[in-house]
Amino acid sequence: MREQSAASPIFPFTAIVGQEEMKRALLLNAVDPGIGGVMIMGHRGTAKSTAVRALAALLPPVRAHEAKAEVFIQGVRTGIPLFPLEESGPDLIPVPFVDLPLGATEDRVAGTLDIEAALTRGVKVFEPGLLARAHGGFLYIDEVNLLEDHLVDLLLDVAASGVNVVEREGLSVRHPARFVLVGSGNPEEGDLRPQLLDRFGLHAHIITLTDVEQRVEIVTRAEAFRANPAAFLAEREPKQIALREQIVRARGLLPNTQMSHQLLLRAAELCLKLGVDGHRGEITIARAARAHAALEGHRDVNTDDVRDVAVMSLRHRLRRDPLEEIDTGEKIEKAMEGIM
Amino acid sequence: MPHGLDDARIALSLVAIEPGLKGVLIAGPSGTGKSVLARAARMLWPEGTPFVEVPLGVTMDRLVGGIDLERTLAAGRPVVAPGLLAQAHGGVLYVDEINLLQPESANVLHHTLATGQVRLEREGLSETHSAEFVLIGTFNPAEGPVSPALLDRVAFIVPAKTLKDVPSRAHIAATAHQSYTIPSDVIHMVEVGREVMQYISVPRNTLKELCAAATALKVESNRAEVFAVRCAMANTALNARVPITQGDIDLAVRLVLAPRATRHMEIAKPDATQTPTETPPSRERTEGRSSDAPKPDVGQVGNLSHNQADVKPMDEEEKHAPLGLLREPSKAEGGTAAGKRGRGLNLRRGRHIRSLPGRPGRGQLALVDTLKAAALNASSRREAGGVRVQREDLRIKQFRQRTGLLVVFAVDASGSMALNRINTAKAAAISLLQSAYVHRDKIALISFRRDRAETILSPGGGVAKARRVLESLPTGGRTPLSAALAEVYQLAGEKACHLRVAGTVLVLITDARSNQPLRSAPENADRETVAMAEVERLSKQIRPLLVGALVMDTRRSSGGNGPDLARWLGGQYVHLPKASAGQIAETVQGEMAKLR
Repeated sequence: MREQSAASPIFPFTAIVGQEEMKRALLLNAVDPGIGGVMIMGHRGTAKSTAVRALAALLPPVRAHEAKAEVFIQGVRTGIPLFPLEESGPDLIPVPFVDLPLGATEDRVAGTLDIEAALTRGVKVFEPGLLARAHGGFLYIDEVNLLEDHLVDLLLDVAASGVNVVEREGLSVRHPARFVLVGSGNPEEGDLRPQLLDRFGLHAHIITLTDVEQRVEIVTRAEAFRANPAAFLAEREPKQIALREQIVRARGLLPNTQMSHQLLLRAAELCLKLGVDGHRGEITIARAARAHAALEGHRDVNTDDVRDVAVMSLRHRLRRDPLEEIDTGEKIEKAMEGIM
Repeated sequence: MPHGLDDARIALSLVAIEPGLKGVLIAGPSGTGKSVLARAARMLWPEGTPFVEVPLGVTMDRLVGGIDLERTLAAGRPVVAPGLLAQAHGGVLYVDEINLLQPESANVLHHTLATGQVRLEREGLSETHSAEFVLIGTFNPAEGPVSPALLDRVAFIVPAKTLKDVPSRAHIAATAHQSYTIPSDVIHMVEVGREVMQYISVPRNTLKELCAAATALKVESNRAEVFAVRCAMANTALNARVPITQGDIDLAVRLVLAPRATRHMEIAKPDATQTPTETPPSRERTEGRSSDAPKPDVGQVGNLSHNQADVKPMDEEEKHAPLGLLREPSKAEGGTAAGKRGRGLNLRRGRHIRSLPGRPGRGQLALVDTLKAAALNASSRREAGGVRVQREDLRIKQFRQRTGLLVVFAVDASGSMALNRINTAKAAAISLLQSAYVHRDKIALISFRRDRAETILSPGGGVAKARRVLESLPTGGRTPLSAALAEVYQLAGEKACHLRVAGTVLVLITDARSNQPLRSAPENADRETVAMAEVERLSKQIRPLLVGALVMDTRRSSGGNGPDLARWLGGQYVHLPKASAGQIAETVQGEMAKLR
């Protein structure tokens, strides 16, 4: 099946008003997918889905053969591309963006037996699922808390390992499935398991914008885009190009970025002070800070880079105290005062 | 002649002009004619526009599309039959009693409204269909709230009111036998409005005014102001004039923003026919302060007391009661596997989890899986030619229904509970809420003090909301334990049915010194004695509705009514005078674990 999203115009990333934390978290993942995705928590109607879709559309196209993978059947590398190359058409394709439909069944997510081939030709052929389609791009789950648990577990496993393993219907298939997992949720809707939260690299909070000028800007842009998408996109194009180039430069710079031992010590101290379990806290800070430095165009990670990523790296890793009244973000900011 | 559906009619006309308003949900008690109006609304669209009605029991494959049985068998490959969402493309989708829609169906519905596409990724099928439509829904708020995600995706949530003045009621009664039609002049106005719409522009001042209103009302979504602007534009078009007037702006505030307010504020002009306070309860707004379930009135509670004869004598039941505190949960319907893991699995309803070998007589045929099995087996049988489905190839669907428990916390906030103990109870409740997700439990919170009990968190709310209501929980006053139990009765009875939970567990945190009866005590009777008698009666009424109960006595000394209360409820008694929040949460979780 071909994605139809290419046909309908996508709201430009640079035209999204406010919500800087969410935008930064997404951009960091675009620079370094190894950060491990982002969970966006916040009110409804705050451009969560729009932002993720817009980011995928902003990024430079990828080579088709990079987005497609090879299939291992019964542990043997078959050399069969996951998607036939002629089907994908041009060599360069847009960054894959898969919006997981809420009613999806497990066989369509992981991939399954191609029933048409089985019926008409009597052969076992693997029909790739959504995980294969997301390879090299983004997989977005709107309202993670509404998704069936067994599907969430499957997605998190594959996102962490980068490999999809299918053992069903007489098939034994493994193929790479590396993608940035982006989830969104509304805290009022019900809570997420802490184990689940911890698996997302970053955790961004968004709230309804209350500044009247900003709200007016949202309506103005939304209506302008609706009235004439082509003109709106054309008008934003210079900003889109500038941001795309910034991301490309940052990707190039990323391998050369470094974080001083002294800063690493301070990140660890911060995690210790906040009582973060495990080591994912400081690992994520280090990774996100390097991507941040690359995005800002410098090689050596500085205190500002760390400060800008600390809240979103740690927010979901603090031990939750039921009686705690202050926001976890404030708590992290406060802890940083003494250290950074 | 005024009519209880005036706002609904305006909203329907506006959405018929501007499909970008996405939809109208009409809220009201039964008998207000909301469904009649909703069905008549199809006249507002040109002839031939799709008008698709979604029945409540709709299956996922009918909604999003599924396999076309006949054509699949004929073609020998899967052929998709588009679902109702795709059929409504370019027209109207109508759902009566939309709040009673299966949660999975409601999720798909709001997602489709958001994207305008229905993505079919099921049972080996993968297709995308366009599905841009206007949603019309009706619901009775007394029977439960509409999913908040769905509320956020449509512009209008309008009330259908029972009129309070005699002449209007008489007029309605006199005309009720006539089949309801939309007046032809309204239809004409809508037609003209569609043409006018493109010429309407919005001055920046209007945008500012609407956005300022959204901020003042603390509307929690930036989508609302987009809807408000479109609403003002559509009303201008409906009246076939330019430019936008103050009246258009006021209407947008009243119909779009006010129902989403999380803070009350007199924004509407005094000449508006309805004040914002009369708008239907949006979930966000009501849950904080009051229950969306109707309060038990005196008559109802009187009923409870008179039904005493229905209650089995306590002693007889006591003999058969198991020693453990929590009684066996009712078995999941049609369960195929017993024990912990099999819970909620069945062959009839819920979400399709997997397919099992089996005859179609036992459940629904899983066609795709049957064909897969036939294809695989055929190659091993080395059959020539087409695939023949043998009996051993047949697969039927296995479903899982979400079956958490409803945990009702009733927290004593009366003056006899010292403040620190209330804080402990609050903390315990929040920490249990946080773990509720794992087991898909629904949590409700009742607080009771002075002369009443209040559901401060309706089942299904999250920690964020619970913390907000608990922080501002007032304390002090007498202990109306019987009022609390009446509230539990409501939740465990009616609500639990709608929530489709496996059962209800009551966690009562109190010192059990009930001293405020529901009904006024007779002359020269001791108020506490009357109150305790009520508590005993109500406890025994509630008992059959619960799968477990836990009474946490916070009294400093031993003794008191706590042990009796636990016995009446058929539950466990725990004396925790100095318990920490963690201990309470641990105790409850331990007991819940026995239930699973």
